[in-house]
This record gives sequence, C-alpha cells and structure tokens, in this order.
Amino acid sequence: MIRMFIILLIAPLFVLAAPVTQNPTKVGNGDDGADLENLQKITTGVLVTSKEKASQLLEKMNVRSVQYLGALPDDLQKSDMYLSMQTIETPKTFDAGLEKSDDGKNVYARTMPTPVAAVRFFPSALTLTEDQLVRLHIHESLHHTLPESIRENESAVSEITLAVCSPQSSRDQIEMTVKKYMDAVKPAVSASLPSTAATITLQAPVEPSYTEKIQEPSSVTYGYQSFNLSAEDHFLNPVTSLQTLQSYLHPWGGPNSAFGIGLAFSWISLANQSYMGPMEISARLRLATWRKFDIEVFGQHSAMTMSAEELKRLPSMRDTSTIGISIRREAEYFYTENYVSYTEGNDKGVTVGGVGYNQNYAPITDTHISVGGKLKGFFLGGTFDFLLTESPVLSGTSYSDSADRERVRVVKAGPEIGYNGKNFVTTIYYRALIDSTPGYNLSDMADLMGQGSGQGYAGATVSFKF
Amino acid sequence: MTKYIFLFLMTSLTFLLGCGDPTLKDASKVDNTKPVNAAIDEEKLIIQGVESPEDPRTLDNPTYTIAPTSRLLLRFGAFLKSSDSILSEQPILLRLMISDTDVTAGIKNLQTCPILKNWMMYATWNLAHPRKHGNWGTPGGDIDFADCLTALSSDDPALKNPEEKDFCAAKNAVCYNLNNFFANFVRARNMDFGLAVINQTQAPANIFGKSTMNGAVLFWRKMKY
Repeated sequence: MIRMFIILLIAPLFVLAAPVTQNPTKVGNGDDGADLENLQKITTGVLVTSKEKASQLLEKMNVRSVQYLGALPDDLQKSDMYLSMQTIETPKTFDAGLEKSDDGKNVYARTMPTPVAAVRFFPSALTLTEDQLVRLHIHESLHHTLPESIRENESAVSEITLAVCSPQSSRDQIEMTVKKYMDAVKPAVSASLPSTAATITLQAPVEPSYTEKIQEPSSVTYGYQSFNLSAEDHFLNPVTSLQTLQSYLHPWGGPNSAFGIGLAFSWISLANQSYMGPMEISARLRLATWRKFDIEVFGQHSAMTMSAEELKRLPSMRDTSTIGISIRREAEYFYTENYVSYTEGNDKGVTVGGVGYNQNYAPITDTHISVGGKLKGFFLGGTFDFLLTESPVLSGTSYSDSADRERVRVVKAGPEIGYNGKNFVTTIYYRALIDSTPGYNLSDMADLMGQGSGQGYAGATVSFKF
Repeated sequence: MTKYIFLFLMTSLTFLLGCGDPTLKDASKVDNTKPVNAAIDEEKLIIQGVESPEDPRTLDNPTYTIAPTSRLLLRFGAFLKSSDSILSEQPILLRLMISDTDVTAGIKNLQTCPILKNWMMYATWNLAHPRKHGNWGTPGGDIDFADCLTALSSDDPALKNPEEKDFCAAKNAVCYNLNNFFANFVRARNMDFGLAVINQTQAPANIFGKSTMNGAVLFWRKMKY
C-alpha cells in the first residue's frame, strides 16, 4: 500500500520533468545547446598561450584608459575557457562575425553577453593561427564588457576587435572606433525623447554599464575648506581653514567590484599659526551594482597628530572612527546618493593649567542625501546632512557639566558645482548650518575632517582619477 | 595597729590613682580634633580684555596681580570631597601670601567672594567655560559681592587656638574665615564653585600662585579617630 503511494507521488515528477530532458535548451543567439555537452576546461595549450598574448596586447594598447573598455583586460583574464568535443554547424540565424569559419560552416567559439562569462571553443578553433586566436579571445571578451547597447552587435564588436588588434592601430583609434558606435546609439535615443515608458527603456542602454563605473575608482585629491566661525567657535575649534591631500588607491577587486584604501593628510590654519591636522586612513568597498545603483561600504579613522600642547587650543578635536553604507546612482543626466554613517563616541582628555578634564562625546549618526544634474561633464547639485548626536559632557577634578546629556540635531545643506573631465573632477561647494538644537553647531560634532566646524564652510576639491 | 592603718592608706591611694587625673578637668574642653591643610587645585586669573583662555599671564604664574580689571579664581577640590568630615563649628581658614613689600595694603584691599557659576580653567573675563551657556552673567565673573570676606585681624576670635594663630601668622599671610561660605554653599547646596580674589581699589596687590611654595592653602579641623 505504501509502495503504491510512493509510486503515485513520484510519477508526476517524471511527467513534469519530461519536457526538460527531451527539448533542446536555447542559449544565446541561435544556440541549440548541443555544444554544452562534453565540455572540457582548458588549462594548457595554444588557447592558453594565445590568451596570454591577447592580454599582453591589451596592456600594450592601454585599453584600460579607453572609455567603455576599462574592464576588458580583467575580463579576459578571469573568464574561463572550455573546449567542446564536437564541431557544430552555424545556425542559419547566427550572425557570428569572427566566431565562425570562413566558409561559414563551423563556429569557433561562443559566449554569453555578461561579464566574465565562460567561453566555449570548438575543435575548429584549433585550426586557427595564434594571431587569429588572439583576435578571437579579445572578440569574445568584448561581448562581455562593452555597454549593453552594442555588446551583441557583431559588426561593432568585430570592428573594435580589429581596431585593437591591427598592427597599425593606436589607443586613440580604438577610442574613436568605440565612440563611433556609442555615438550612433545615443542620437537614436535622443531623437525619441518624448517622455514615454519606451523612452526610458531605450535610454537605459546608453548609460555606462556598471563595469565602467569602477574603471577609475582610484584618485588623488587636493581639498581646501574655509570655516565660518562665530565668536564662541573661535575658542572651541579655532581652525579657520583646512587643506587635505588624499590618495585613494583601489588595487583590489574585479570587473564588478573594487576595494581601496585611502590616506589623507591635513594642514590646519588657526588665526596666527598653522600646523599638521588630523591624519585619516579609510577603506571603501564597492560591493555590487544592483539595478544600476552602486552599493558601497566605507570606513574611516581620523587621528590627531598634534601634541597635547597644541590640542589645548583645539578643545573640540578628537580621534574619530566612522563606518557607513552608500547607495549611488550615476545616470547620464543626473546623479543621486544616499548614505548613512555612524561615528562612534569616545573620550578625550585635556589638561589645562595642571587640571585634567575629560570630554565625553556621544556617537553621531549622519543621514546624507545628495542629488544633482549633469550635462556635458558639468554637474550642479546639492547635499543635505542630518546629524544626530547627544551633547558632549565635560568633567574635571571639580568641574562637571551640570546639565543632563540632551539629544542634539545639527542640519547642514548646500550646493555644489563642478566639472567631471576625462581624468579629473573639480568641485566647488558650500555647506551651511541651516538648523540645530539651540546653542549647538558643527563644532560640537568634534569631527573636523568629516563634518567641518562652526556655522558652515566653503570648499573646493581637485581630483585626478585613474 | 599602725601596720593596719598603713595598709589601709596604701590601698586607698592606689584606688585614687587608678581613677585617673586627680585634677578633674572639664571633659568638653579636651581637644579631640586634628588640623588639616589642603593646597589649592584650580587657580585662574581673568583679565579684562584678555580673550585667550590660555594667555600665559593667566595660568601657572608665580604671582598674580589683583586689581579692578583682574581677578583670581580659586577652587579647592578637597573641599567638597571632605565636606562630611570638616568640623564646621571650628574655624575654616583660607591663607593667601602677598608677594608685595607692603603687605598692609594688600591685607586691607583684598577680598574673597563666593563664585556663583561653574567655571573651568578655560575661564576668561567674559566666559566661565567654553561650552553651551558658558558666558558669565556679568563680565568679570558671577560673584556674590554681598558675601565677600575681608582679611582676619590677628586678634580675631577665630585665631584663638595656637594652630590657627600660627597658620595665619606666617610672614606676608592674609587669612579669611570661610565658615559662612562652607555652610551656605559647600555643605548646604553641595556646591563649590570656589572663591574669587578681588581688589576694588586702585592699588594693585600681588599674591603668590600655586606654582610656588606660597600658594593658597586651606585650614580646617576634623575629628581625631
């Protein structure tokens, strides 16, 4: 009886599974899936050596610096290769470009149009010369890394492949070839600008693919900030200006992720003297791009480099440690970013006239929004920061704040304008204190490099990216 | 018989000696107290027109000039901590040492007055401290002028005991009796914002700072244990 029940239970599963096992699977353009059988991973041989040569060629041509091709070398190195044991004929609807034999009968290789997808080679590819194989490797990786709008366009991919591999080619020629196809796509979209759902769908391919956004995550940045101080701020944090030099390098990561570490040094100016300010070490990890939003986590630690004597003049300076998560969208004509960060609370001791005091700072939560528009490299936007913390408590041998610790809000906002060039970004901005718990301002955050000081600040940055 | 009389007298004498001091003094006049001295903890000069809280004239100086435009803020950390053990019916004395040759003028002109607002070593003529609500209510410090103390004379009843007399008899010393200040502020309100040394005459007086051996000192008594 039980056996009968089990048979009845299992039988429908076979019925449901039957179509899967009997019908061919459609993969890619015109792919009947037959080549997915008997695959063997390639680790040695001419396909491996030709792949290495292709990689060397890409480095030699400096394609990393070509817009839309920055991820190509990494993709080539990271994509796996498989050899199919059977030759397949070209399907009638298959526009295979360099991927089929001259007589059009056999396919050399196939892949999927996604980053770091595996490449399947067929026995007929082994009849190609090494130079032809180099072109074939680059061709397949271009299918992975070009913007979605042209990555499946065989003539575009073939022409860009030839531009890369031609002995007379140069980096600029490669760039022009890519630009030609990208420009061809953009006007088509611009021409159909009526605001319909279809337009939005069409615009999407024009946006840089996520692999491009992390082509140049590293930067060297110089920044200058001038603080707007009130009379009371002149004592609590009398820093009138701050200069920073930051180097942010991203040596780790792949086509769709990047991890970098940054170092920043600062120089602070007081009314009548200047010296080294806080030093900051930071790390940033681009986790992923989901639905065209970049998700990043970051952390930074800012440490005082001043002596105890110098710190006496800066009661509102302390070491700070911050972590946060950012969601950013870079579209063709706008950008927006939300992030939330948390700065831990800590104590800072200071001795004045032989009397020791301890300042206890509460954690700070920063909720940040920035949004702006972009046009031909120029951008104009604004930022809004809502800072939430508690009042610092000061205590000494005989002194202690009599008031209870209270919740403190500080809100700053302001415009920013800049230009995003090919290898550099320059920005001018202003942040003003627009609201706060009475009696408090940015100096009470005691986070000079992170939140500024006083009633607000104006600043400018120049950043070289690579 | 004589032998018995002698034995009786010797036994009686032994009992009498065993009862203690045959002079029979008044027990309430026995001194069971112990003098305590405490040095100054916080000392900050505030000068009219000096806004920098770390002006070298205002901190860690061997002497301070007290004038209508400069006042010395003093606070003793030990005062609050020892509040329970201080005998308030005994004199509680503050001694300052004048560094001028003419001590008489200093004794005459200097006053010590209770401070009514919490302050810290960053204090200036305008600020009690740099935090929120840190301004003095009145520039120059929130001072209770009504309760200002003048110097004790050498024949003041508070100096009747030899220890108190010696404490205030030191050369160039000027003494103040802090009993009222202790009772009204330290003990009654559990609050000690310290004292300001002021001089409202046009003749400036100089007093030694705590960085010398002649800084301000407190004297009080506590019970012997």
